[in-house]
Amino acid sequence: MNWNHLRLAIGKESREILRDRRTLFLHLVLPALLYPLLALFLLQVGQVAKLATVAPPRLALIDAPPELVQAVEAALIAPESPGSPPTATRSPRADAVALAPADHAAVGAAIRRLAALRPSSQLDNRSQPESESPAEAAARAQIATELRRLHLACALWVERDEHPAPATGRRLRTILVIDDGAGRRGSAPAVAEEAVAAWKRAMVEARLTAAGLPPAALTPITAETWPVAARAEALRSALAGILPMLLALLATSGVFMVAVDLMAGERERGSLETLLSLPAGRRELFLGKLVVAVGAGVGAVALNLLSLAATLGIAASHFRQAGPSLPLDGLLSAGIGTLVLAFVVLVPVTILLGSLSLAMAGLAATTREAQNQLTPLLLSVVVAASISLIPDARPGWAMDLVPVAGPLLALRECLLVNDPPWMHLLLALGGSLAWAWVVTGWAVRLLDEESFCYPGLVRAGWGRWRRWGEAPPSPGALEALGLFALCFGLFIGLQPLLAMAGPLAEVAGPLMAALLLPVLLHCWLGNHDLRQTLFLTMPKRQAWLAAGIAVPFAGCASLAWLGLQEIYLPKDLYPHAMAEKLTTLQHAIGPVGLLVLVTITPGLCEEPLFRGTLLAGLRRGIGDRGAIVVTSFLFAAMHLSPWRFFPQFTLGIFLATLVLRTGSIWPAVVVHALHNGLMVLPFIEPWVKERNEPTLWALLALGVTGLWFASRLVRR
Amino acid sequence: MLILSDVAKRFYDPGRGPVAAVDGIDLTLDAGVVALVGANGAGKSTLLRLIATLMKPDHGRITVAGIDAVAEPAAVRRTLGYLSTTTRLWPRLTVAEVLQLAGGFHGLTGDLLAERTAAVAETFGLAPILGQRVSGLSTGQAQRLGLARTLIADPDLIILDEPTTGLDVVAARAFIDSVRTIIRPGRLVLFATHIVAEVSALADRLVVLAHGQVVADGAPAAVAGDLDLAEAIHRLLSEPA
Repeated sequence: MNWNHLRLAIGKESREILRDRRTLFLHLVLPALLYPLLALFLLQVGQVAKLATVAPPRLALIDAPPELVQAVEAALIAPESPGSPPTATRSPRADAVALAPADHAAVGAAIRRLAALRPSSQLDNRSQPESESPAEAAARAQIATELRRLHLACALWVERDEHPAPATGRRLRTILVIDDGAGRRGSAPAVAEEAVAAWKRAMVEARLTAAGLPPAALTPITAETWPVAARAEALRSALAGILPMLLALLATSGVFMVAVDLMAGERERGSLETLLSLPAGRRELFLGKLVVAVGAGVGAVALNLLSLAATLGIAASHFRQAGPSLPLDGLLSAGIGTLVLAFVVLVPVTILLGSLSLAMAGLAATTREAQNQLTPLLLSVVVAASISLIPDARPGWAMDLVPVAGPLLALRECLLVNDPPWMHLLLALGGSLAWAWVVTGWAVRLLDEESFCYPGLVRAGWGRWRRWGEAPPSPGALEALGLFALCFGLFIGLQPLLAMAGPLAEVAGPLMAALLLPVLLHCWLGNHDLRQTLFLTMPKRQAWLAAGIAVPFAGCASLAWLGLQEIYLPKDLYPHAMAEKLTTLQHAIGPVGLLVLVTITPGLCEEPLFRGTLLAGLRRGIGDRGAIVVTSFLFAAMHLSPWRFFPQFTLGIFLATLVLRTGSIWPAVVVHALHNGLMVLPFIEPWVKERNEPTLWALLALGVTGLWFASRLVRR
Repeated sequence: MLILSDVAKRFYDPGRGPVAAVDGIDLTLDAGVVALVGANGAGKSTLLRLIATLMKPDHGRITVAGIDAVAEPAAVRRTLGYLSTTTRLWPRLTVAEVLQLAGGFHGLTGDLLAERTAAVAETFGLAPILGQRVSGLSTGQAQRLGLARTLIADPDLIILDEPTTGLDVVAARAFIDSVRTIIRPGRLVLFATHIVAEVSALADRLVVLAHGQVVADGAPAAVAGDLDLAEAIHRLLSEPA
């Protein structure tokens, strides 16, 4: 890496973006300005609307006794809550209106007619009857007509009874008729219901007193609910659903337009050829663009969040002065930890989005074409990000590796719970960075392709369908990753199918059908050189020596990892199903058969994919070191068990190094097979469990050092 | 300085299939001014792009100052300056920033960079407009800035691909005068052109390309023989493949 070239590239791209004021304003500043402008607009509209609606919804009382009228008058003003202004300044929730005698009689008669058709229920009833007779329908329609003629939101009717209820013990019947076809009912129905409830309560208390019981007999139990979390914690939890998606969308919108301008815009302005003719490395040029695109994405998020927070703060203070307080004014107290966590998740996701959008924009001939190409990517991000809105979605070891969705889900979980899943978060962030690394490596190679600088050139085709020219000896990084995705999908899909054919087919079948076969088929169809793609060459003697020395050290490292994981990892992560499967297999094919199955089959089937095609493809895209790390990561991840991740990752690093140093896959196959054989020996597990922590760390150090030493025995 | 050994480059034409843009060219070029002449599609631009490492040859070897262009493209780019009619400069940067960017990528820093920037700006009459954005330059000024940009690190190989295309007569004449100023011992100026007058004015060696192959190579007078140079070139280019 030439840091001076990187600095120059960043400086050049920054200047170009910062001086493109129109793009900068439209895509970064304007969205941030929209929040306060829209809030201002809504406040103004709200005030105008408030001035216009001077008349509160009207509530009429029909044949109501004085006690109920008093209860209605008390319910018209909402009870004060802490922090609310004095009652005198507050407007009533509804207007209780007195009707003219003729109107009073007309409405009362209509309700009475319907009440006669619908018998009184034994309990309070708020639902509509499922069916009604024509007479009922006519009476109901008449009530609605009367309510609308008199501009009433609702009317409360009390059945006339010549004998007062407390004396006789008879049930009084009240009916609240609501014009639910009118949108502006406001609080009038609630006022009527509260008043009836208060009247009912007063009546019951009077009866209790008459019977010699205290009013408290009515409420033998009080039920209270107290939220106890700090305000910032409650707000963090409330934001958990929406914040991850909001961050992803804001970052995407910030990155996309900048990527389009820096790549397709550069091509359209004709300066791409000039840039590529300068003696700068392609990596430095791409990273310069990536840094600026990521900066734009993070900047867009920061600007938008600041703007949103300030707007909500101002809106909250406004509403606090004018009326009941909003739960929004605590946004600024969301806690610095939440913001830092969000930022930590945001940066790797933005790097991935930035490298992906720059690479895709680079494939376009014009900015318009780039925008079209990036639209599906934007939709994909929206779909991936919307996973954080699914209430029951939880992080998983496989999900962590899914771009965008994994980190956002981990972030949501961190915001939701007080015991954040750090392992998931780390894996998701590592996965994001690994994806970004791969995409960046691909994009850097893309810059080196002449079809990138001169997109009018016609492609030659692929593999056996190539129309002209020679096929590359090994596949590219994306092609190799595509093959891995296919193999992984087949591997997952075939396991349950082959399980029906017995335990032997369940273990060996997917390895052969999903890993080995597609790899060989891909090599044949792609016309790839088997020596350069699968490293099918005979190694030097040194390589066998290194392999022989490495086996015990690989065993040491894996045993140490297993022992340390016994201490540090939760017990529920232990792969019980796999242990049971091995036991079943041992019963079915005997210990020797088991040993052959878990040694030779994985060695022969997994190595061609991970240390063959994938390693050869990725090294073309991201170089040797990157390819070693990414193939090892995918090798460890494909075992779908956190318990097996670190042992396999360590082994993968060594095997990939060994293949690249020896130029042959065979020593890696042998080390893989013997290592697996070592791991299933019956005395291993009890031995591991008896070791203490310092011994295990020492064993790990010994294993890793031994592997490093063994890999150095071979000269390239 | 520049050695091309059996260099070939093919493109795929959907109508005609694979087309040899450069078809087995062998050339050894030393210091001086070499004009590359050929009809449209003769392979001039492709050959210059191969030398500038913007394309990779399908076959053959290109070495610039002893460096392999395929194996070490960045090292080759450090030894040359490339300017073509299709290359544009960054419209949002100023003249000074363009020169400093090019100089920076060539490894110039600090006082040396400032000194070279001032020198090339003075040579090409850009000193008064150093603070001006490229988007505000005239076509002639932009082309002179392009030439100044290729010279910022004083490379030994200058590649110019039809540099006067699109310039008016006055600007083209001024540009040719500018090119004269960059000729120095030890430097190879390789330029492609359609204009015979430019060949006569600048070149001390002429390479005529047709159908991706060298059909004539030598001093312009030797290539012309008894004929007028324009007529000689016309005859060479009119011969069937």
